[in-house]
Amino acid sequence: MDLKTHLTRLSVTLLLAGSTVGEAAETPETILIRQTLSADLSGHRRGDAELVLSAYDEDFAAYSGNESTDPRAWQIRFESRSSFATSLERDLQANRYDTERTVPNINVRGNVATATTIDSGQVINRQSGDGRPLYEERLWTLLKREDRWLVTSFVADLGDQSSTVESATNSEVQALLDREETARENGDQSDLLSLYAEYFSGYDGLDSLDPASWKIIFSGTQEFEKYLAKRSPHVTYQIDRQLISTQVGPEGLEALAIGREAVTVTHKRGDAKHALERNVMWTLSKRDGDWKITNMLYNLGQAE
Amino acid sequence: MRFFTALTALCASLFLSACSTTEQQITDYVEQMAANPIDSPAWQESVDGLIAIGRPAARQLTAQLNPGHYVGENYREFRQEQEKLRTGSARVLGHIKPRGVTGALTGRISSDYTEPERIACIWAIGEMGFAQGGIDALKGQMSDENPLIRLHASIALMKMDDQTGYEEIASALAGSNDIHVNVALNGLAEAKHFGVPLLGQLTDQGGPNGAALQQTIGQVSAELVEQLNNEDPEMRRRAALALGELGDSQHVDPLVQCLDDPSNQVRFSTAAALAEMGEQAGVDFLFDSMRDPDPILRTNAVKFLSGVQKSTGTVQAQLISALDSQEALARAGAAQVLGQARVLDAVAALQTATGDSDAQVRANAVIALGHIALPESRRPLEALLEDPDSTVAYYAEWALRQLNSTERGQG
Repeated sequence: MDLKTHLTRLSVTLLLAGSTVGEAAETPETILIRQTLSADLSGHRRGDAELVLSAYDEDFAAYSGNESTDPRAWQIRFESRSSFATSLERDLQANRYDTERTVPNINVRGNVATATTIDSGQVINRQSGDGRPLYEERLWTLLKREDRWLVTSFVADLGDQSSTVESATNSEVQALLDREETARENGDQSDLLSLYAEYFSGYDGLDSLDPASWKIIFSGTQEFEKYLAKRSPHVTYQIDRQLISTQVGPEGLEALAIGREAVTVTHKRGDAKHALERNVMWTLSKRDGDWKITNMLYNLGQAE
Repeated sequence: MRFFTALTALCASLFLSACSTTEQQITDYVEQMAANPIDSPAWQESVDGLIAIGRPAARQLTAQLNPGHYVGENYREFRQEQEKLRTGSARVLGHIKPRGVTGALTGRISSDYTEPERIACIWAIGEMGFAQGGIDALKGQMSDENPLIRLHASIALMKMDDQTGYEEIASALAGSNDIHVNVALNGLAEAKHFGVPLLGQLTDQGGPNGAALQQTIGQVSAELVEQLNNEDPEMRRRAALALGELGDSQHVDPLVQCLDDPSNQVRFSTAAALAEMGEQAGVDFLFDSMRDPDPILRTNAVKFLSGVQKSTGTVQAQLISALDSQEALARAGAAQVLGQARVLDAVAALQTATGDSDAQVRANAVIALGHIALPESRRPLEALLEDPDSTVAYYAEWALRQLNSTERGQG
């Protein structure tokens, strides 16, 4: 196939993809992200697990939103790509998906992105032929590896319910977040960075529970490191952190923590003192033996 | 060859080192700005330091205005820090006036931002000079519920030669809110020649702030006298006109010196200013120019004399008597000015001038009578319909049409 034909086909494919889901302002990156989300959708519709999994990163975890956008209600659903794959294959053997997807929102910063989707249609039992209606809102996080965007997590079944999940704090997660607090207060950048996964994402929740409004503030540890190098020489942090809840998945590979912290900053070039209180959400993964922070969300909103 | 390579490397290294020193200075001042309360001595020191650095700091400061800047390596979680930086950056930008910043400033004056941020950005827009985008954005603030924002927007508009906010400023000066009065007075002082039309209106206002207003007028006048030496002829021209409008006789001497300015526009504006103040030096300059062989100077003289006559009426007698001048150019010019200024008392003299031996004088007198359009001019105009000079005959017909339409309008 010559280049011209290839480009023409690609343009037509993109236009078709855009015509079904195109709502947000498009950039080359959002088009590629839509392609990834389309692969997941198409794989479900065709019953092709391999196609679905082609959209997913090796480091992957999934959460159930329990009909809420409040992470206090979320539960860990899959702790790895392999556990997701096992469940997916069973699901696709049992069910046929006749669904459509809209992508109302995509946010991109560097190599990380978030997207929200709304799936609607029917899930039909292959044996009985019975169909059940599907309407599901999801939050996705994605990572760009080389030229492809891959799903690193999703939170399924979002909604506006306000129930929270009972959970106790986990001592390992508690210890890591305590260490993070101390490293920040001491300005110990290398210790601080060692607690974060290479491709972690940082968000500012802007005191909202609407994932579409969450702003990506850090795209990976490289950017976080630059931030620390720029910020740390000029300020001293004092953090009073209280971990409110922790969930750890049954495989012990994925954790979700919610905390509240009072942060005070004193400046070295003046006498202004800045202070705030905020709710923070962290997700953590234990891929290579140690827990690492994979997502961090400052200023998480509070349900009324 | 090696020597040149080494020299090039040395120059490049010196250049880079100078750049990095300036970058470091900017970073240090920005951090100082974030670390101190707005308007505290240390905060002001950082603003002054950045003003001294000037344009090399503009790019970084413009970025500080944008809320999207505070992510990634520039993340600052405290809104108060952003407020200090945004306010300070706007103040610095207003002083150093880099190109293309108005858009970034206008985006920060809505009620999404804090009062200090809005005021600093509004002030900076005013300092940037005329930009339609800036004017539109400022006019949008004129309905803000915060009177201080409306006042600052009015002042910024005034600095762009827009009178939309005059009433707001006048009302602040007539009131008793000390903060608003000070803002209005400072704004008028900063606006220099742009504030003079309003200062002229407010001069006789008296009231509780009359003395302070007089003091501001004194301050503005002194700055305008200084502005007469500005390297930009437009600034000198504006200063001359503004001093004429203020009409203080103590500024006559510096104005008279400007009658020798290299710029035509400055000389004529100065002459008009002096003439409006009743100073003969200005009147003489304009009358001399009216009979200059250079048609551009004559055109300027007619334009400025018409303006002086319309606004003060002080040159009427001299214009009428110029119709009897020995010089045809002076007679022709005087007729033109009397027509443009529609001087009713000159009709008889203009009718006489329709019999002038010089065709240009006759033509200008006919046009003037057409502008004034009094019925008693009909007969002398009709007599010129057959004038041997076709231009005179043409304008006689035109002038009669003016008379007809005026009479129809009155009927």
